[in-house]
Amino acid sequence: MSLEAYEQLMMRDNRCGYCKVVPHAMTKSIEHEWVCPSAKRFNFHAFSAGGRTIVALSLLRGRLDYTDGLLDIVYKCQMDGGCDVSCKVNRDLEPYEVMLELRTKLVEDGQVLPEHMMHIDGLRKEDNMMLGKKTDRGKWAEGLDVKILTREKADVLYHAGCRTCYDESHWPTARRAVTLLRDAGIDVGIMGNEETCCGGRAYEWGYQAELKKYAEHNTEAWKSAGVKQVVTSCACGYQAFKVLYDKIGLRQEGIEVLHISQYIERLLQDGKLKLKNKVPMKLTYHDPCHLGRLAEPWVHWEGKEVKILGQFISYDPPKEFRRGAKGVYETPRNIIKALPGASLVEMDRIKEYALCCGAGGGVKEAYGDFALWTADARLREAKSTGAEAIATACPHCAHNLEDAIKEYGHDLKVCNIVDLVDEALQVRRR
Amino acid sequence: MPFEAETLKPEAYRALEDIVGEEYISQEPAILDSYSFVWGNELIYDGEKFSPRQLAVVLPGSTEEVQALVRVCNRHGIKFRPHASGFEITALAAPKGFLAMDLRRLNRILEIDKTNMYAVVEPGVMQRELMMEAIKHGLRPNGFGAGGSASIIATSCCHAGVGATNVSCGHGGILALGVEWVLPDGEILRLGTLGSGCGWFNGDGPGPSLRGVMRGYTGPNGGLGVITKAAVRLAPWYGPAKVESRGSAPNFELMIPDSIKTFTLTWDSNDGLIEGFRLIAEEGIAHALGRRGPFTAAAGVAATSEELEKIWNSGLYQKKFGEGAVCVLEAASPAEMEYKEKVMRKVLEETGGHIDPEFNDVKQANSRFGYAFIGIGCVKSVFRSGGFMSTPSGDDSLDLGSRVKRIGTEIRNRVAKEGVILDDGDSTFVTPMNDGSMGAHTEVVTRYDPNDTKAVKRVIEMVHEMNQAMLDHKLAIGGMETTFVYDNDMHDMFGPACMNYDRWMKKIKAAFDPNNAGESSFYIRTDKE
Amino acid sequence: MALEDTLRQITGADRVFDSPEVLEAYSRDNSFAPRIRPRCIVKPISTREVQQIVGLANDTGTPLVPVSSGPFHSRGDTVPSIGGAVIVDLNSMNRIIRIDSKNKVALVEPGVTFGRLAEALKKEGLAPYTPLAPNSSKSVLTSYLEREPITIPRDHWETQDPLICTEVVYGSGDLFRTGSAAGPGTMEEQWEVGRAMVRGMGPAQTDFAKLTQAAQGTMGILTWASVKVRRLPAIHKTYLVGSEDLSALIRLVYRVLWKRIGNHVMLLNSHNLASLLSPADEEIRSIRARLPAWVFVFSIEGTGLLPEERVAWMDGAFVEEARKYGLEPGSAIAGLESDKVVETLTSPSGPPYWKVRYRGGCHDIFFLTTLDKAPQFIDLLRKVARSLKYPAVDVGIYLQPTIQGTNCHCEFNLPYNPQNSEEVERVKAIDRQAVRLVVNMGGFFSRPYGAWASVAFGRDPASVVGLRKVKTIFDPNGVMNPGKLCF
Repeated sequence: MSLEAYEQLMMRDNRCGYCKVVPHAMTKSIEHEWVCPSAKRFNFHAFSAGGRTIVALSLLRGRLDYTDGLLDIVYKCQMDGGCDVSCKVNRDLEPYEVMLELRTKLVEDGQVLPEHMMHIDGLRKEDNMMLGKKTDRGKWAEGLDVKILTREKADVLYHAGCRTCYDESHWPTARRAVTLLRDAGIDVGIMGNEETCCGGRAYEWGYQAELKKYAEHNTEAWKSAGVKQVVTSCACGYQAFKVLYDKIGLRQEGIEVLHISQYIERLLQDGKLKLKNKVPMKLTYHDPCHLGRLAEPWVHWEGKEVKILGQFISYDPPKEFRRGAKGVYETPRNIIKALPGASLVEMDRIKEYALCCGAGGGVKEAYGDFALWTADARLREAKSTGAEAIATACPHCAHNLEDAIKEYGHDLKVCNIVDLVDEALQVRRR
Repeated sequence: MPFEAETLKPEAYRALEDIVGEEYISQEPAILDSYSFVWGNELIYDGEKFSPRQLAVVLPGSTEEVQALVRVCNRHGIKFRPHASGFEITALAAPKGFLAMDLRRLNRILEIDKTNMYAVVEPGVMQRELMMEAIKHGLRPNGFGAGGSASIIATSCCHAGVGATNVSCGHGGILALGVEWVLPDGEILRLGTLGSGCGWFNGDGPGPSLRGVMRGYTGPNGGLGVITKAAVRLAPWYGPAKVESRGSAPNFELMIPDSIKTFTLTWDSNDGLIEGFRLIAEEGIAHALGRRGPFTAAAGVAATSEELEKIWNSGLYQKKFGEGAVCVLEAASPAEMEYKEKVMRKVLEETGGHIDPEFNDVKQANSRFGYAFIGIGCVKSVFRSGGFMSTPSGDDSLDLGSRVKRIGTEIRNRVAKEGVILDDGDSTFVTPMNDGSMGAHTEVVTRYDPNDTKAVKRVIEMVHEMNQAMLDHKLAIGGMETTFVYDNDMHDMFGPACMNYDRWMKKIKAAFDPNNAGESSFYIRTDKE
Repeated sequence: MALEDTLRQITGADRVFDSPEVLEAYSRDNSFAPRIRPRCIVKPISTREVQQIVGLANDTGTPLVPVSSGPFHSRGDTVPSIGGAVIVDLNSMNRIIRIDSKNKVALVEPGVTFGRLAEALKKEGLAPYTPLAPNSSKSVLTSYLEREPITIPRDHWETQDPLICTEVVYGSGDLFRTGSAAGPGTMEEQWEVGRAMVRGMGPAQTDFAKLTQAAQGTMGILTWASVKVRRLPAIHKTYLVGSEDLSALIRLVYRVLWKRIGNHVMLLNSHNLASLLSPADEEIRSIRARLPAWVFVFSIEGTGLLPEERVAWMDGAFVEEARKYGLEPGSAIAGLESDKVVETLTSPSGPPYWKVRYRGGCHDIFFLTTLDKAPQFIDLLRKVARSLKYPAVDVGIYLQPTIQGTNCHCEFNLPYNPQNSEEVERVKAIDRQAVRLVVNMGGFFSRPYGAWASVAFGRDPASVVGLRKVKTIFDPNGVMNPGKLCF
């Protein structure tokens, strides 16, 4: 859809400001009431979803020229969707989609950030968002006994994701993921150097064409590989495959997309994984946006807006709004609870109203300080639970949180769900 | 109406920037436009959603900064208007741009005096925030129709202050005690005990109370300076220090504590409801009491529009809801709750009211509690169609309110038949105040789609017709007693019929704002030709 | 034409007084305000007459001093501070204009006393809110206008209560009605559509009534007011809780107010309670000696649809709370029965007025604080009294929670013999010293009478600026009671 298509919804914004905070009923403390990092950090109303809605309308009405300030407003946003959840508790509006279309419009009009362009150029040339070489993509799996699906076939494709492939600190996690799948008897393979970006992050930055390109490519590649399941450790990838591809009409028929945590949960339930070793840690869990609220399945709808009772806005056929409840929330928690000796304490902002880690939306790339500022807030919240470690299920989240730990000196560890499971498995693996 | 881009003189901008720092001032057009857009604008600007672009937006971080900003405005002839949440037409609309003073950085709860039952807050403290903190001390603030995102100071000192908990907390407008006030000329006035260095506990004196200048039945909507701190009275809370919640989007709900019971009460006639309200209020048993129209009640329990449509199409509310109300009881002991509930039921018996099981299941109970506690559902039900206006209103006895409701809804329902406003029967909100000793507030609620230019035009006409009817029938001052005055329109219309109050208000405005620096389109203008 | 003659044309000859005896009587009151004779006294009986009088005052530059209550006056606000003033005695404007039982509101003129109002209200099953045992000639309107605290804090929602709407002739001569009485429409038209004058704020965005309350007649003259009234209970239960430990009683009072149980809540020391209940000084001493140092007077009123149940649960809750603090509520103390005590404390007093029974005269020092701080002020006053050789046992103390417990009216009553110059000087000295110390300690003189004004306003010059702006608006020629407050 285009930005113009949302004009009527924009007009219905009432400037309530609910998009800046968690749903009121779920507010546990004043300190942790805010959910929009952008509004909290930059204060002016324009930096909220409601504010950007107004900006979008103003742009459509020809009231605004492009300025650096306007670009800042649009791009200083993690596109985390917390605003969308909060807004939709009360209204049938689409603040997230409006902000996405706003970015798309800016990109179409050439209003891009050089920092973003650098990564997009890299994507276009090397099929990854990490400024790495395509030929280095598979290095993380060197020496790993795993099928390469450009040459062989397997039931399950493990997709490592750009962050993992090009960040050595995440290689052990990916290797452990593959190994535990394989040792559980799963017929798993990887794409190695031929793995490409999912296209999800580029899409989120406003580059819709890139999503289409990679969606088509990956769809083809998976069909050729004959896989029945695609499993990934990367929340962004999960969201792209599960939701965004479907959104643009490229749903993966006959292929089940899973996050690694979901696969692990199944293996535990089937008794194929047994967690025996103690993991004596007090953990809190950080919900990645792309595994949580943004990963709610896409709802296709075609119809029209109708009015009943004079001015009541209705839809024909009835329209189901995505409100964030159907993300993956319980699975990682169930895994943590299943770890012998581990305990789970919850933060105030969790699940569909979790605070973003700070890395998304191109913020890490273009506004590094802001990304760290957000992560710092999240870490302080984690610390307030008494937890000694913050567990997560996304390498982007882990990366930004770890950067913030270094920057701000937090006495906290970041753990990946996969690593925790590996720790608890009977046979120690490397 | 096209926007007007006026600019501040560079030296004025520099002076403002020097006070708050460059991070907290902006003339970026996109930022300015986010302060030139608010619900209701289309009614003022004949369908246009944007008001004239503001001159600049500034975010002060202290009383000293506010004072310095106001002094710069006086020196350079800049009009300014403060706001807290900005969630109100009166915060941002004006015939010309002004310096918008966003007070969100002033957001501390400075003190909660548990013993003497008051809190001291800054303007950026919202109702739900103070509620969360106050209940830890066995206290609670007033709730208001704007919901939990509205500023405590805005409702107590500057705007209206009406909500379903007025019956037990008091009307918002009477709750302010000591107040720190940067006058529009830049002087600081501290009201009551605060001015005498005695603390915050009283807002009146010495001698006559200048709280009478600060606000009347409604407030000056930012047109008479900036309230930077205020003490507000709190009511008792007998529940736990923390209220639990549960659910997943969008079905979040607060769990009713043991100290609370909520009911939907229904009557077959307005007369029955009015008498029921009078008795319940006088008994002093209600924590919250407020009439809701059937549509509003249905909207309160429906998580989504789709669900609301289903509920509404079932016909249940149209057929059986009648004249319905939320009633919340609160008690410190089982004996007290038993008594209060017995009295409530006795009132129903005497007045022909009911507690219909179809409107009193667990989900509805939780919904009512959330509404009374922190205004959950206010935005959901009021902004169903995107646009909202609330007029006419009556504020005296329940009987007066009844007439306002009757005449207002006659006009409203006639217009509703044209399809230009939500045709929901009757969404009039009625709530007694101060255990009924201050009468009741009544307001007729209208919803419309701001995209619908025909609807907008018709609502503008309808509002004027309603206000004229209030004048003709001698029922009330229009525009919610000038909460929604704009550019002196209500004052010009009602002043001559109401002791020429506007003449006195202009004198007050002139005396306290000699340079006319306070942008007072929603207060009273003294500079209108 | 002489001023007096013009006044006679307005009111009729029989309502203008200028004989030496009358002028002498109005030249002073029972306070320490200096004797200044007025020019004459005029007694209007209608709003129209009041307006004409104020108009004349503006034309001639004549100060006006309004008074409504009959004698006993003791604040100094109803005697002139400047020579040549005309006393506007509204005592003859004494209609009870309307009683609205449904909405619990009465409209009264200035000359209506508590006794008269109570009698009229009783027929409707209603009663007025009273301050502590008001003087029998006290004007209801003036009492509320001057913010005298009522004895039922639960029904005291803000400082202005129980005063609601007012009709006022401003010092400018303009007539105005405040609150919902402003209109639209005449009073009759408003009643016709159901308006009951129960909303005092406004009209619109100024709270006009607050600008005349506690003004000591410096802004204008009220010609009527709507006032809140309450239902007479079907049954009631009263308690006297005595203790030597004021802190324990204070804690109990706070709990009572937080739980919103009961109606009348008053804290008195033994001297004041004895004075209220005894006709003469010897009996006062005798009763005083038998009483505990402090008595908390409390009532539970059974009103509404289930009066017995109401009393029952509140009673149970109250006794439970009292026992938590080691207190035992009872229906009698030292031979005084609680029902009688409550009735006496909430009924008009005198003549002779209870405060003067002990020594013939009484000087009051009162201010606002919070109840938890009252003991500090009590210690302070006693220390000052002792230092000036005033017998501490004779100091009357009255603590009245107000605004639902957020505030406390703290009052010290100092009996003295007005014929004894030494006693007079002693009490004056106590006042001078104590007031300054009270203010330094955070006591708030929200009603700054006489010499208190300079102390109170000296602390708050910004308010003086604001008040003078208001004064200039409503009384541009400064005819209303010059010399009072900061004017």
